[in-house]
Amino acid sequence: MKLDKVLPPVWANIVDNDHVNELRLRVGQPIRALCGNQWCYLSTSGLSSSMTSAIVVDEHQLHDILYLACQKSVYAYNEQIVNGYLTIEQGVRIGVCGMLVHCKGVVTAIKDVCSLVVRIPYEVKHACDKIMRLIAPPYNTLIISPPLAGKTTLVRDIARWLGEHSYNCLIVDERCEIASVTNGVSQYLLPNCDVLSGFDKSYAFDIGIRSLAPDCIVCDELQAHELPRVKQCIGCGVTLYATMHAGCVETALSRVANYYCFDRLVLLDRTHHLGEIVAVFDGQGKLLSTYNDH
Amino acid sequence: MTSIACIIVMGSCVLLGFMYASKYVDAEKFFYSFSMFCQQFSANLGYQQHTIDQILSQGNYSKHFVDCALISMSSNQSTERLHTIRFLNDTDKGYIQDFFASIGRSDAQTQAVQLQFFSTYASQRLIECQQESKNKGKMSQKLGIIVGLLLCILII
Repeated sequence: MKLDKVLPPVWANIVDNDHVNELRLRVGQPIRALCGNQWCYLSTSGLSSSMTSAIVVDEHQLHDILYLACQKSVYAYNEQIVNGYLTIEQGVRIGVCGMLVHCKGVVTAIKDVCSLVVRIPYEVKHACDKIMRLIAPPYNTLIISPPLAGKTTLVRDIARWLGEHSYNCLIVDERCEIASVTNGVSQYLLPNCDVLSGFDKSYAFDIGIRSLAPDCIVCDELQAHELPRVKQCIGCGVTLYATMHAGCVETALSRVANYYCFDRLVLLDRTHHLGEIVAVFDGQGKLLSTYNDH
Repeated sequence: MTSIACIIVMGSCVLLGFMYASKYVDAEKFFYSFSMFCQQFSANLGYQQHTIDQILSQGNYSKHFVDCALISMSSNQSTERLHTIRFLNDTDKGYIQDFFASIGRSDAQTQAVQLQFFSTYASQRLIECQQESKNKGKMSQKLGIIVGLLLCILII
């Protein structure tokens, strides 16, 4: 079970049995769970659409969950916590909400934690197979979607595909979500992949290209300020696969247009199911292919 | 028959003497582990920041120390089990519970400050235990041998 060391056994059991994708724990409020595309409530007997039977989290329980998620060693995870997130074993991501504590202008901690958003990943093998003919190297590809549409799952599968096809793949796993390396071992089978965990992307591109000689680089959650480094990275002859939050292709293009970095844009959606690939576009926004498997 | 009785008596007395002395040896090992843990934890805070479980599994700490750590850090296990460790006095138990209640609960800088106090305490208790082991421990072993010999003489 993924969360058996963090959540009470009954909750962990339900999360595992019902393949919950996301849990929202808020102090004094019933626990909400996302299963597939459906929101419901967590009760002691399982998932329920009724709020009345739902488990209500108290402050003490929330703090305990956070403490256990840190493996009883908050200092080892404080750097992540002050950035509002925490990645634990098996790639489970926990968003942390609370009050920031500043000391001499530096953020040192989050206190009065009021909510935790637990996102549970599930590997989806062969998710990228149908689009690889369009985005295989040397096409630099940007995967775009709103939150929780499956970008990280897809980019992980792309890394797997690249490794299986003998490309030396460097995974820049800034938030430890793509490969989820624990004690030096990735939670996913990613052949021919080197993983830089917790590295800032700009720094990782630099040292990765110089030291690890990758054919391809895979990274997650590109920000606008990182695009100049992306352009440098691509200029070194490496094929880049990245993800970005955007609601539509036009929004993404407006951010990357000046850099001429990407040859392909892959649009995901979650209207019908998580990880739904909608279409593939070229670098100018011209539609190359659509997918309709719902 | 007399010889067998002497051997049994001698063996029992020596064993009792060593068993009594083991209390001081265990205490010395415990506070040595405590002191080493504080040092390794402090070094770890400024370097790799491994979790407490990782530090405990990597170090060569005494079994009593690891048990104390796991009991004190776990909310599921009753701290009554700590009271069965005979070589720890009430003050020691209080400090150890406070120590493991505080480590792992804050950032590296705060941990380093908190650690200084407990590290000093652990070092002082280690010196005391080493003295006790040297004096009382050895005395217990010798007493066991002497009492055994005396009883053997009486039997003979």
